[in-house]
Amino acid sequence: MTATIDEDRDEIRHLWLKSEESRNDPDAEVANALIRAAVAIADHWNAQGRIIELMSPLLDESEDRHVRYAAASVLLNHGQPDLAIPVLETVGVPEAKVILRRWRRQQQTQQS
Amino acid sequence: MAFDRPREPTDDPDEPHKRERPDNFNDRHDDPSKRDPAERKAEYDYYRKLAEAEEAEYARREAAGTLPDKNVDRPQTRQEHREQLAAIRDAREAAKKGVKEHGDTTDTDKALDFGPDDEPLTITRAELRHFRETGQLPQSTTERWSGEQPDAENEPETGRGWRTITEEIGEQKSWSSFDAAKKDLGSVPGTDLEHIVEQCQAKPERSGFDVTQINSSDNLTRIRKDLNAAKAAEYSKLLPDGTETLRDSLNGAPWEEQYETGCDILDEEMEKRRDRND
Repeated sequence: MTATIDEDRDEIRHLWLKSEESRNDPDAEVANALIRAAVAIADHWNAQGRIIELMSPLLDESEDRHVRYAAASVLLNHGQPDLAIPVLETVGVPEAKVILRRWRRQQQTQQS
Repeated sequence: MAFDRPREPTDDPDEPHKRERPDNFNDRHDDPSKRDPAERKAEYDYYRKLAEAEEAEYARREAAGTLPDKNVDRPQTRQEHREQLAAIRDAREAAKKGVKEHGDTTDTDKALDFGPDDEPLTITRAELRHFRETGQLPQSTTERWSGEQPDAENEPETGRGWRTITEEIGEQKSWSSFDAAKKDLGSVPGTDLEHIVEQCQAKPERSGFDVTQINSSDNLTRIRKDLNAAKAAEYSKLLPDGTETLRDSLNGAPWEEQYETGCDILDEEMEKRRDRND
């Protein structure tokens, strides 16, 4: 039986929180495996044109800031800067600034 | 500057004194007084040219400001070792005197308790240099001698929970390699010397930063081993979009961005530890 979008959303949230908690993982093997699993779920729903439906609830301020940051990153990668950038600018996760700067550099390269 | 004796020729083809050598250079067991005067003069002229080349090279490096740091690149002589022990003894007396005279806020009993006199105490060359220049011991030295270890509860002066080597030793320095920095700065049990902007970013295929900038005291920090491992793991993690790791995403990014990221990651890891200890 295939999972519903709500079930997959819960699963993604769980995967991201587990990847954030993983300790004693010097090469981040475990964390990266969890992140790849989350990416696979996101790609599945993106292929059906429902990425915004999947990720938007995870941007809510009631969510853990690492979940919000991860959801915004995925949305930015799937061409949704209007939804992603306001979250990445304020979420307070160091990697969010890195992702924003990288995206802006890519935009400048494409425009030039 | 005069040298006591010229340096022996090396196999380095760039050495200027290698070009001319007397034919009997290897006849070291000959009695010089019995040798042909012309040969003796040739040998004397050879060594004189060696010394002149050495002095010219030294003057060139002195003018260019590229003389090697004697304290790092030369092994310690006996005289230097004796001076170091005397400086350690003087530094201990000065620290005790400083506590008595200036009413240091450090607990007096703890500050004066440097252990028995025959207990070996270490002082790094950077700390010794700081003491010679300022007459004060760096905080790192007194902490180590009094047995204090850096941890999350004892906040360094910055209030961040960690500090750069510049803040620790009170001066800006840079080293030609990480090994040279580690040798100069010594080690503190339970901690690692680590880079804020990662060392790998010196590689041309990444960011091509200058090695001396990577190994500068502003970019080095002494942090607990578990914090260092957590920082390394964070850089090895994929970004949530799965495209690349944090480390790879910083390739080619400006120094200031990478420095800010490194500081932010360290701050976040310190925050996580504080939250767990609460």
